[in-house]
Amino acid sequence: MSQSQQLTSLLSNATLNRLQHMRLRPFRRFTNKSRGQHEHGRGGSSNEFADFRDYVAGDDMRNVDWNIFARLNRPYVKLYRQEEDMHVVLLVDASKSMDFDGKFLKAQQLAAAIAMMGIQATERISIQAFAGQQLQRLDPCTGRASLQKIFSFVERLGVGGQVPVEKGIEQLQRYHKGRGMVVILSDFLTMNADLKSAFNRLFSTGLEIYGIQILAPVERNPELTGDLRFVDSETEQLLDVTAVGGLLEIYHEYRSGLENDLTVLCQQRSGRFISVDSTETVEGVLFDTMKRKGWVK
Amino acid sequence: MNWGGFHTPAFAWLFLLFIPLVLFYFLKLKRPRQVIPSLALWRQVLQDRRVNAPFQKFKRNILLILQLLLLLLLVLAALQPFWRGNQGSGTSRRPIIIDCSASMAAKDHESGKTRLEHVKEKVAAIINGLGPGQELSLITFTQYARKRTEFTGNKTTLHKALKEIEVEDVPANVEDALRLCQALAKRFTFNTVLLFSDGNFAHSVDVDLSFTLDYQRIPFGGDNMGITACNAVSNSKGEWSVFVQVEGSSKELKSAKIEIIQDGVKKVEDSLLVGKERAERIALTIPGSKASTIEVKLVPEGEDVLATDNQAWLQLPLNRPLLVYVNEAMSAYKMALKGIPGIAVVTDKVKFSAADLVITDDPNDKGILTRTALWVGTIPEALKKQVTVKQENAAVVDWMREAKLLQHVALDDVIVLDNPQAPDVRDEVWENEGYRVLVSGAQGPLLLEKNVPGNHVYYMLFHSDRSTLPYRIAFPILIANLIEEARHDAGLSETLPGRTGVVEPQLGTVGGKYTFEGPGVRSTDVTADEAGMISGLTASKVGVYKIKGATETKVVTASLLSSSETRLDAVEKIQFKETLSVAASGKSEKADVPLWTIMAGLAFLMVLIEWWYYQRRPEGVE
Repeated sequence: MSQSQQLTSLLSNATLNRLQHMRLRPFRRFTNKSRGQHEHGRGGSSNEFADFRDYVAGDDMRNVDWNIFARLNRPYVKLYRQEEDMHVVLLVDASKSMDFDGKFLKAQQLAAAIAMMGIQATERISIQAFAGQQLQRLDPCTGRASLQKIFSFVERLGVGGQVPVEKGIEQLQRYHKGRGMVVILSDFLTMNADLKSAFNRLFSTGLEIYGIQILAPVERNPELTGDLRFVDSETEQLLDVTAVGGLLEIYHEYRSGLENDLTVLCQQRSGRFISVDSTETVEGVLFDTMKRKGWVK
Repeated sequence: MNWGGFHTPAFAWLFLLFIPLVLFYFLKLKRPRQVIPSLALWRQVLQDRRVNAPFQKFKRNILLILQLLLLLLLVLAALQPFWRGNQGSGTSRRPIIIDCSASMAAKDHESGKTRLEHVKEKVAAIINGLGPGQELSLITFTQYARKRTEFTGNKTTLHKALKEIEVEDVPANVEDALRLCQALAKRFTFNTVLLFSDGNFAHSVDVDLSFTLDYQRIPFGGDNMGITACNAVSNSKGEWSVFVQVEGSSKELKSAKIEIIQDGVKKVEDSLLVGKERAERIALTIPGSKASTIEVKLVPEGEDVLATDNQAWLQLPLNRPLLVYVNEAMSAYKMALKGIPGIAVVTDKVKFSAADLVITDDPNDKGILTRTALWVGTIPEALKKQVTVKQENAAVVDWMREAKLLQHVALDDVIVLDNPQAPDVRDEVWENEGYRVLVSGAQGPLLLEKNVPGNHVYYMLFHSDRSTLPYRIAFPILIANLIEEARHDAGLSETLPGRTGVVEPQLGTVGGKYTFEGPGVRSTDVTADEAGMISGLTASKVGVYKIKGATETKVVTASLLSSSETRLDAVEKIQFKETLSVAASGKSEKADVPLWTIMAGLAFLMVLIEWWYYQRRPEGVE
């Protein structure tokens, strides 16, 4: 397939084809009651069978399974899955720290992929990126017709500025309506961040919290030695570190600790958390990591 | 207590290099910049309690500390520190005397090393510990001392000389080595002489010491057994009575087997029990009808630390009549010889170009080769300027009664008509010319003996025909003594074994070229002197040597045969002249241990550690 026939520059058409058959798997399924295609609990009216139960007075006679009645001489009612509308919010960290070693591109690719899965499941998709003072936001949209709009929005996202994650969440809350899930794509590297209260606020608005941490190799496995002067790419602050090689063990402890904290924070709010390397292929993340971790089916 | 010091303390100024090192470290501390997405994690790391632990603070400046340590070690190496041994401090020159006599080949059964090897290790340590300005001279001794090196601080030269030192199968004579040191002391200044020996030498030494002798005796011993004597005496039946003595060093009796072999044929095989208090003697009779070589082999059945004394050789000549040449005109002598058995008197010098004894007054008889000679009425060529003979009466004033020739000879009423005159010549002149005065007249010597090793040449400066000597009872006694001496010189009365060391002069042809070969000897060319004597040969190892000439090959043997070497006697205290004595040192000699190599090694290690520390794979990286 030539470049001109690509739906988006972020993902190949082959990847998009595979994504068509994949669906997001939220834990508690915060959904809006308006009818949608998102399968919810039993007692729905979709075509997908869910369970049987004893007939009680008042039940719709059309749902009685006559075959079972004929065999057992007792009426049972067939239950079907309910399909409801779910709002999928993609919150992309576009601060300067993400503009490093392909971190932001990875965030764009994953955002586009998750949006694709949501659109295919006729969910409502909204995207918001926090970068400096400028707010980049795509209002909720649904249906395949919105796909191109979503892709071009994601492709055009700019990166820069200093915005911590909790600020981005605060901005999201100002505009967001509806229940569902929020997928936060960030490196989550913020000094003294109060993510717990920010996540609590999000959860209270009816959003399951999913976090995807994207780290560059220099953050995941820094192979550094000697005395170095670190420069923060976002704030340009300096930090002198002596004998870096001897501190890497402690660094890894802190990095693992941050991952564990974020995992717990997300799981306590019905969500999931994964940490990916910016050099990892998007297909590897989507079709391997996320599938194994139960994010998608 | 002085534990050590520095050979070159002047290099202490190098410590000033610490100042620029510290200055440059802080001035040049420009860290490479590393851009990272966020400092958040690194700030947390630096706030960690473990990072701020004292050791971690130390690690922050580890580069500076490593560099300071490296510089410290290098400066210390330049100062050449040393750990002081028990050598005297400030000693700049020191001769080291090393005993390399036969007993130094005794092996310690635990370490398997010989005594000389132990000494060499100790001396090598001393050489290694030499500091700048310190010099050693290596001297070895057996029977004679030999200076191996001049005073030098060159360790390569000293080590090379030390390596070349080998045991010689010769008894030790420490006196010669001490005399050599005494001679050195006249040219060089030194306070102490170090003597390494097993103490197997005479306990009394006739030397004046102008220095302190540090006598280091090798401590270890061991049991030994060996042949200490072997000779043969001719008996009246024309046979040789061979006598062998075996001694040991062990307090307990130890057994051994002895074999006596004549020309490759075993004659005797016997068992012996030998100890320090008990020596064994073996005697056997060998027919003297032909010349033969006797080899004695000892096979100890227990520990035997010295192998060189387990073999001895004895060369038995043909037991024949003594061949005496007498000049035709000397009838008095011919008459005197007639009554002596076992001799053959000849007067034909054309037929007999060599004889065991020559008695003549004819200078033309000089061509006859002999070991023993009596020149009658003859003044030696070398003394013709000092001695003149006047035809006048003279009487014997004195004679050396202890001389073999003059034993039991009374000359007090002998009148001579030739009066040798040498009134102004003092006794030293005769000695300097190589003569000994046996009989003195009123104005000069009457009988002289020339000192030639292995030979006995006598000069009667008056003619016996013009004296009353032939009519005195002293005359036949004198002739009998002369015959006995000639018999001894010809090896016809007693045969002694050849010993290691200087080989007995051998009779060859005048001016003949010979090659000397044997164990431990490079082929040496030697020429016989005007008397046909081959001398100046050294046999330092026990064994059989050959002197090869154009027409003949002489075989000489060398055996150790030293009771003191075999018994491994050790002198604890060397007695010098007057009341001075030197005891073996109780503490072993320890050389100064140079530490600069350790410092340099540590500095190199420090460089490696620094390199590893900064180049190692970071911890925690998968």
